[in-house]
Amino acid sequence: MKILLAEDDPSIQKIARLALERIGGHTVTVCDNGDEAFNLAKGARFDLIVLDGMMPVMDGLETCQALKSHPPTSTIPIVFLTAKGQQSDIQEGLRAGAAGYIVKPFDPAKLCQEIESILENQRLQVPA
Amino acid sequence: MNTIQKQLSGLLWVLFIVTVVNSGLFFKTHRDLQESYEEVMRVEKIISTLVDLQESFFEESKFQRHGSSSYKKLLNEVRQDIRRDFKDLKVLMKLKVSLDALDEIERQWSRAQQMNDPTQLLIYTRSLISNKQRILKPLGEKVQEFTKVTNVYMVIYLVIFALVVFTTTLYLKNRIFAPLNRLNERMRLFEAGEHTLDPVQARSDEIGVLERQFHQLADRVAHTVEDLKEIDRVKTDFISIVSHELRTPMTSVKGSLSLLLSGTVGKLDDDTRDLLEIAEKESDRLIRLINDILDLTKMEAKKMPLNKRWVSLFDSIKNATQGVAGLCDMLHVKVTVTDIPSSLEIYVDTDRIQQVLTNLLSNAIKFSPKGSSVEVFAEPTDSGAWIRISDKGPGIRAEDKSHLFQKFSSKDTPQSKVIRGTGLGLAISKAIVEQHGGRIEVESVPGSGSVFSFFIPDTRFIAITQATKEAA
Ligand SMILES: Nc1ncnc2c1ncn2[C@@H]1O[C@H](COP(=O)(O)OP(=O)(O)OP(=O)(O)O)[C@@H](O)[C@H]1O
Ligand SMILES: [Mg+2]
Repeated sequence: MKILLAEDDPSIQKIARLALERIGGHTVTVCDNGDEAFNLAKGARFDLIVLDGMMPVMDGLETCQALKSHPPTSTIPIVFLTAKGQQSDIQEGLRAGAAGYIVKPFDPAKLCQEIESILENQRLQVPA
Repeated sequence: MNTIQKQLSGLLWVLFIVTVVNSGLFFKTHRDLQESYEEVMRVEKIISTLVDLQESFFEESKFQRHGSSSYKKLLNEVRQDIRRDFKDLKVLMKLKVSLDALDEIERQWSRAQQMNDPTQLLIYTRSLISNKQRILKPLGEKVQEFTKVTNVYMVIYLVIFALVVFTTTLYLKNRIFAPLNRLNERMRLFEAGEHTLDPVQARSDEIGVLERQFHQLADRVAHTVEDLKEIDRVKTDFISIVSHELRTPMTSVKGSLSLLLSGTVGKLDDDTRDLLEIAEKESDRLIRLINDILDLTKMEAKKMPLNKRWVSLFDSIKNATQGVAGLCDMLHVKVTVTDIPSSLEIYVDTDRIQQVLTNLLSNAIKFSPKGSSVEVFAEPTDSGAWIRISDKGPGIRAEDKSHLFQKFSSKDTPQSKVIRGTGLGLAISKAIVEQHGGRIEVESVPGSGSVFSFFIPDTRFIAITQATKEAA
């Protein structure tokens, strides 16, 4: 599966990329901010997008809203990977249209599991 | 300063003086009128006497009968009578009534007396009667004049009185009630949170001073509120920055370690694996510590809103026991739940109360001897419910009880070697319970165990329907 990962912290970016590639076996495209992510998503087809919460230029929430209001990208499931772990933050993320919400620090294996189940859901929905 | 007081008492003095002067004038006028009236009555009486006399004169027979001596006597009496009245009539001089007519009468009288002539007397009385009008007319005029003057006084008094009353009313309205109402309105607005008030042109009187002082006070309060908001904002910022800044590096550390340990990056030899496991375990502990500290800071800064709803106490406890099942297995301790009415509901933030229950349960399990059991039970009271967790562990010495609930109160004990705590669990539990309006306590007999209890004030019993019974 093709996954787009937007994360500004290079270490976390690398860890998440490795986890998705090695554990999940996905093809991962990375970028450092929301603006880039939005442009990339418009240009190529992705099966899922992972967004960091706090990023320069456009933060995760804004990027999510932009993606959801742009028809070609609006159906791609979005997963937040963020340090904001309060109930209100999670609710806000889900309201913006996110399919999953993972709070940092995260367990790489759990990240992959979560993404797997979201993709599974997506597969079940698409044919119908 | 005391402007209103001065102005008001000035107005009242004016009213008082006007009233006193007027009363004096009224009194004087009234007395004058009374006097004049009495004089008029007297003249009237003299005249009627004379009329009677004259009539009797014409009765020839009477004149004859009395004879000249008795007539003289009678005449003399009348004369004296009239004299006296004349003297009184002279009082009228004061009233500037012309008394020419009286002088004339007097002259005729003396002539008649000299002559001792009844005819003359007759003339005298005639002239007196004909002069009646001349005497009475000025008197009447005088009375009329008095009435007019009195009326004028009366009108002037009423006008002044009305003016004073009008000014007083206007004064009260503009200088007292209007500014008071304005001040009231401003206070109301301020109370409602409108902290930026329009500037006022307050007068220098008492209410103006009050208004200005209120504005100064309001300014100060507004500033303080602003400052407090700023502090609050800084606190919130601090919490979210620290939360982000601490979580980001921990994410990398924990993520790297987990990835390495998952073996997907490369094969590990046993020593490397052991070392990485230690690092992972400690990073977990660090993450827990960070979360706990942030929770506590948030609660202390009142930045953790409670998301309260009604939940079954039994369900909450069951969830918490399931959460510590792993720990129970590891330490060979059992948790038994007794005496929890299934109809008992508590009004709480479930996640937070789970945190408290998990904390107390894991403490109890950690300190329980192998093979013993931890008991959980509830005690509903009139004002809420106590939830108690008892263990058969080492207990707590009386002198340790007080700082148990403080931050970082964790002490090294044989048990704590197994599971290293952060020493924040009880502090967080206390904060959560207190935020719910309850309290937390511990009772313990050193050597035989402890009972940790917390109180939740909002509780209710719900009617158990067949459906819920079956669901349970
Ligand atoms: N049931 C108990 N029996 C005996 N001592 C206890 C019990 N519960 C708590 N204590 C004492 O109180 C201390 C503080 O407990 P607390 O829960 O605050 O911290 P912790 O359990 O050490 O760490 P944490 O809960 O943050 O992981 C414990 O270290 C222990 O000394
Ligand atoms: Mg504890």
